[in-house]
Amino acid sequence: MTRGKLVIGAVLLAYAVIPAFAPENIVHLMTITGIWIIIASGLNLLTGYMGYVSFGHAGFVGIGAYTSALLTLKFGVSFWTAALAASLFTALFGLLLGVAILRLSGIYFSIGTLILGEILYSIYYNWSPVTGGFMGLNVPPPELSLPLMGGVSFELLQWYYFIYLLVFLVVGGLKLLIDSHFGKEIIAIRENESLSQSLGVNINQRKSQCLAISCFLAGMGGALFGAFMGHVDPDSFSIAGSTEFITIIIIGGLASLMGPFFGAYVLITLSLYLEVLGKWRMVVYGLIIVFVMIYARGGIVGFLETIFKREFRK
Amino acid sequence: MSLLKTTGICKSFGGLAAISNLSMEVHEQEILALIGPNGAGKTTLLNLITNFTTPDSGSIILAGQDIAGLARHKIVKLGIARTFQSLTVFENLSVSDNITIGHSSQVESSLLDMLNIVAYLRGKKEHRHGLREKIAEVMAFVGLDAGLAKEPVHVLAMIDKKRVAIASALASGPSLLLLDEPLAGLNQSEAQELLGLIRKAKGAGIAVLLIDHNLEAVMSIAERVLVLNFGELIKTGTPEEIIRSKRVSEVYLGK
Repeated sequence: MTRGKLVIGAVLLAYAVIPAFAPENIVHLMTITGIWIIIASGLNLLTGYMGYVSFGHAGFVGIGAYTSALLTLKFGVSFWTAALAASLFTALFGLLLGVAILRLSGIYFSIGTLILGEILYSIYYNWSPVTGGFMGLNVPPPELSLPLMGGVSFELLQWYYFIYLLVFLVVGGLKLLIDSHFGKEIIAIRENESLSQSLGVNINQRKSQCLAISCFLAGMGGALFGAFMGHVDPDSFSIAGSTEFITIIIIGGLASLMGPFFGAYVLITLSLYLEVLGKWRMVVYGLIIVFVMIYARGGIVGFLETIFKREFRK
Repeated sequence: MSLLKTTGICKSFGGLAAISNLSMEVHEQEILALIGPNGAGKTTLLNLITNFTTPDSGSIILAGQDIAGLARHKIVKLGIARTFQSLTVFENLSVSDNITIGHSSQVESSLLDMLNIVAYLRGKKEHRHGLREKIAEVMAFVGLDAGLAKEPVHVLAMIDKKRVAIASALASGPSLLLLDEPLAGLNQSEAQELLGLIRKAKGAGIAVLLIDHNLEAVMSIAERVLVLNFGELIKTGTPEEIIRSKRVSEVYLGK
C-alpha cells in the first residue's frame, strides 16, 4: 500500500513538472489525452464494470460539447456554468434515454447505442442553424476570475493543470464508487443480471444511474474539449470517435481504473504515428482490438499485473 | 402460522396450463417439499413466487401483502430468497463478493447516500467491518471454510458452490428460502451435508420450500409435502401420508 502511494505521488510530481521541460505541442497533446481519460473512464464504468458496451459514446460527448458551446455563445453564460450545465444535461439525457435503451442488453444495447450515435452525428451535421453544420461553432476561451489577480485567461498551462486536476478528481471519485456497494452491484449486473435481481439488486435503478454517470463524464469531456480546442464540429463526434473511446478502454484494460489512462496514452501516441494513414488508421485500431481481445484480454493493465504478479484492478 | 399463501394462481404458456388454480400455504419455519414428475410446474411455482414469471391470475400473499408481480428486488427485501435449478453463482467473483451481493437488499441503496463522501469515508470502516462480520457469519453458517472468502467461486468444488449459492441467498436475511433441486449432482454424503444445512436454516427460523427429485432425501427431511401434477396440486400431507397415497403412486408409477 505504501508503495502504491509512493507511485501515485511520483506520478503526480512528474505531471506537475512536465510542462517545465516538455515542448508545447507535447503539453497540448497531454491535455487532450487528459480529456480523453475523463471520457473513457466514464465509458469504462458503463462498459468495463457493468458490461454494457456503448458504441455511441462520442454522440454523448457531442451533446456536452454543443450544449456548453451554445450556452456560452448564444446566452453569454460563463464557461464554468455552461460546462457544468452541459454535463448535467448529458446525464439527464442518459437518464431519459436509459428508460428505453436499457431494456436492451448485450449486442442489442451496442447496436442501439451505435444507431443513436449515428443519429446524434447527423443532427450535429445537419441542424446548421444551431450547430453550425459541418463548419461547427467557434468557442471563446474561458476566463477565470481570481481575487486580487483579476481575470486570468486560460492558456495552455492553466488548461493542462486544470484538466489533470479533474482527471485526478474523476478517477478518485470513480474509485470511491467502485469500492462502494454500488460498484459491487454493477459488476454483479455484468456477471449475471437475473441472479443479481434474485439476490435483491435493483438492477433497473443501478443501470440507469450507471448510464447517467457515464454520460455526465462524457458531457463534461465534451464541454472541456470544445473550450480547449476553441472549436466544435461534428467530425469529432462520429462513429470513428466512439470507436476510439472503445479502443482506449480495451487496450488499457476493461474494468480497471488505470485502464483508460494507459489506453489513452497509447492511442494518442499511435494516432500521431498513424496520422499519415488518415481514416485508414481505423483499420489499425480494429486490428489492435482483435489482437488484444485474443491474446491479452486484460489489456495493458492485465499485462502489467502478470509482470508484477499483483492485482491493480478492483 | 401461515407465512406465504397463494390463492387460485394460474399461469399458462401459450395453450399450456403450467399452473392451474393453485392454492397452497407455507407455514413459518417449516420444511415444505414440492414434488411431482417433470413438467409438473414445480419450478414455475417458484418463478411465480419470486416474479421471474408473472401469474395470469390469483394472489400470492406474504405476511399480509400481495407480492404477485412485485419487482424482484422488493420481494427479496420482503424476505424471500431463492436458488436456481441449474446452479447459479457469480463464478468469476470471490465468495465474499457473492455474499456481499446477496446482502444488497439490506444496504442503504440510494446512490446519493453512497455518494455522500464524508459519511462514506467515516462510515467506511464501520460498514466494512459490519459487512465482513456478516460474511464470516454466513460462511460459517453454511460450512464454508473462512480461508475461501477471497477465492473466486469457479475454483470451488460443487458442494461448496452450492453452499455459496445458499449463503448469498441467506445473506438477504430471508424468512422463506426457496431451493430448486439443491441436491442435484451431489453424492450421497454431500447430499446429507446439504440436508443438514437445510435443517440448520429451519433451526435459525427460516421456512424452506424445497424441490427435489431425490424422493428418499425429500421424505426424510420434509415436514409436509405438496405433490404437483400437470400444474395441479393433487395431494398435500406429511411424508407418510404421501407415501401411502394411491393417487401419488399412480402419478409417479402409472396405474
